Amino acid sequence: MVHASEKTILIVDDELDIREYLSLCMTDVGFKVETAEDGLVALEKVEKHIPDFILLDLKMPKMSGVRVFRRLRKNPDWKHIPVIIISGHIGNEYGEKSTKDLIADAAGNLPHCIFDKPVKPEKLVQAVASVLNVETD
Amino acid sequence: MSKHLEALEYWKRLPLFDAIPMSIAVIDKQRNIVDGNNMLQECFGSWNGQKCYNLYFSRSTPCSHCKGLKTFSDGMPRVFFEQSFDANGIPVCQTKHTFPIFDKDNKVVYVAEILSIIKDTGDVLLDYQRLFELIPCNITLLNQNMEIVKCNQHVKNMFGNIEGQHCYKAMHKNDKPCPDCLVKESFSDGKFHFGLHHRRNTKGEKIDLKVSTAPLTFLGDGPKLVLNMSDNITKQLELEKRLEIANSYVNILISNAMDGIIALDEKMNVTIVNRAAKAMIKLPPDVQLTKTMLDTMLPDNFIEEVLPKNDPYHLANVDILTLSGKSIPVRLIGIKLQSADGGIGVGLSIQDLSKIKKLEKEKMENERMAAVGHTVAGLAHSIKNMLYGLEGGIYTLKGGVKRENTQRIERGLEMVENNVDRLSQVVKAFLNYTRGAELKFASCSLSKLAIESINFYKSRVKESNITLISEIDNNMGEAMLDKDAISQGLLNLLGNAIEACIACEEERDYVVKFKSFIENNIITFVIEDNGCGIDEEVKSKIFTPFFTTKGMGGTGVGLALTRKIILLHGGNISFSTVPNEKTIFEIRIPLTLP
Repeated sequence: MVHASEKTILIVDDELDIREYLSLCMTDVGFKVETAEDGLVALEKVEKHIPDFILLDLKMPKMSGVRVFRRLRKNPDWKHIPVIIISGHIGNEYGEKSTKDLIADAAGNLPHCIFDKPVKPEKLVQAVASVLNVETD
Repeated sequence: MSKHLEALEYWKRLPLFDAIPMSIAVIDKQRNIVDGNNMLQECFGSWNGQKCYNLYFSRSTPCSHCKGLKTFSDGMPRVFFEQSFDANGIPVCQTKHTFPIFDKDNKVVYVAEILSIIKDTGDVLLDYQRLFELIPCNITLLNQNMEIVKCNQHVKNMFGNIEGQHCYKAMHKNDKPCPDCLVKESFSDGKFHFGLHHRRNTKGEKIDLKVSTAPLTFLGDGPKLVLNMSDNITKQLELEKRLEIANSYVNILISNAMDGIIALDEKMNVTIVNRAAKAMIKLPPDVQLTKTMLDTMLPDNFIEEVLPKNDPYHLANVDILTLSGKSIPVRLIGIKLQSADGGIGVGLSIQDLSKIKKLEKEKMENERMAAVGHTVAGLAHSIKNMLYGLEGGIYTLKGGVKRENTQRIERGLEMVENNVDRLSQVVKAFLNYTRGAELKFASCSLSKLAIESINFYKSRVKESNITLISEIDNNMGEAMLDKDAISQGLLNLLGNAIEACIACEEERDYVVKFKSFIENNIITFVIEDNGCGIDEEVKSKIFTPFFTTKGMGGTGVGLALTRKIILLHGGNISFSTVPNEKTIFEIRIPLTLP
């Protein structure tokens, strides 16, 4: 079994506090972490170094999470990267529309799951670890 | 025979025969005209070989009461009045003397008729002729046999010269007299008759004729002739029918119109009040609407204001006082009704706006409810994020305590503090928004307000690649506004414009332009930037409270509050955008002078 330290998680969220929080959650159990404050920066980072997992917020300036997700899925090098969506909009109409858009374009390659904020750190860690099949601290 | 002629010759020897200024005709027992003088020729035309009844009356059969015959039988001279027609068809009124001409045996061999024309009627007859010929309708003079004794030019144009023919045959192609013939009636009762006849013309088309018959009575005897005048009024009747249809069409439109329609004539009598108007103004049944009543309902002197105008006088939104005392909002249009020869009154159109206003109010309520719905969602989202931030802070704190990592503890505390701060800001902003800023209107210098707003950001853009351009009219004067509120709105928009430039990734010379001017009594502010523009998805939500794209930077209330302030000033705010290119916001507020 691979150890978490060999995996890099890319955390994308426009709120600093949430980026920090999620980063801490991940690094506390041993993962490596990269962060991005909006969709454009996220894609730049993916280009530089393909992450093993992406935690993605939906509503961001400059490029929304939905568009980032589409780009990821369109690119042959990136479409295999597992994605979990964490959004504060689940349950309202913005969230509904975004989810529909997501599903419409995903062509079967859906995100692993969609979490509603706030999500408990244990749950998140569990989800990521099981997908990547790693051992955590 | 020659003996007779000798007698005649004897009589004729006198040149008087031809000099006499009276028509002399000599008639034999068969009523042939055997001889005549010059005057006869002049008056009646060629007499040679003609029968007397033909020459005088254009008849084909002898007159039933022939006075000449009587003289033949009793040898007595006679004098009487007679009307006949001369060579030109002019009726002539004459005194006729019939003289027996005796032969040696005292037998009446000829009768001489001497006619003296009554000169006084000459001028009248001339006029009569003119009328007779020139009147643009068919005039025929008929005798008791229904033969056309004389017809005017109009008839001749239509049928040719049909004198002597039966009128029913020549003009109507009937073998028998028409059953509704008015000429017959005039002959029988000696009275005038009028009627409307339906016939067919020579082309077989249906025509409507206005017919009048006048008996011509002479000397107490029954009418010998009847004048028949018929006027073709087919077109007129058709026009009348069409006018009636058009009128009833218009009447139907007016009576069923949803808007109130009221019309007054030039004497200011109310001539039209349609159903809608009656309902609108609450006119009690059986009550006549008068101008005085209108004056109490309409804005002062409204009708008087309409009269001098050539264009409609349009008040888009005004209150009128109905007769039940209630005031209703209406759109009122007054227009002068005018014909070519002067004014013919005033027309009013009233559109009840209370229903529309009610719908608008409902719409606004719905929008407000929707906005509140959005507000709640937006608020919930913001609060969720902050709660998450708080949780993160606590998690970090706990972790720091567990690992005895001071840095982490401090960071955790910071996160908690930040998010508590943000939460309180959001709550404040929310309360501020919902409380509905109570505006305080005061006289304010517009130019100063605009200049101060843009100056606020001058220092902020100093070190950046953003240029601020102001095109502010320095002479806008004063207006009644809430200075702080409008200032807040302008700062909000200018701030957004600057941030749009900052957020844009491209290398560009960024410009934020601020224009301020007054046009048509409307205060206008235009804020234009060439920054990142507004995304399609965001456009519809832009004024929604708590909708923000700024992450931690914004509470999302700015634009919503700005819009609210402007609406409360009676104005409106609009924007246009091209993603990645530019955005223009425009504020328009009606000018209220202090």
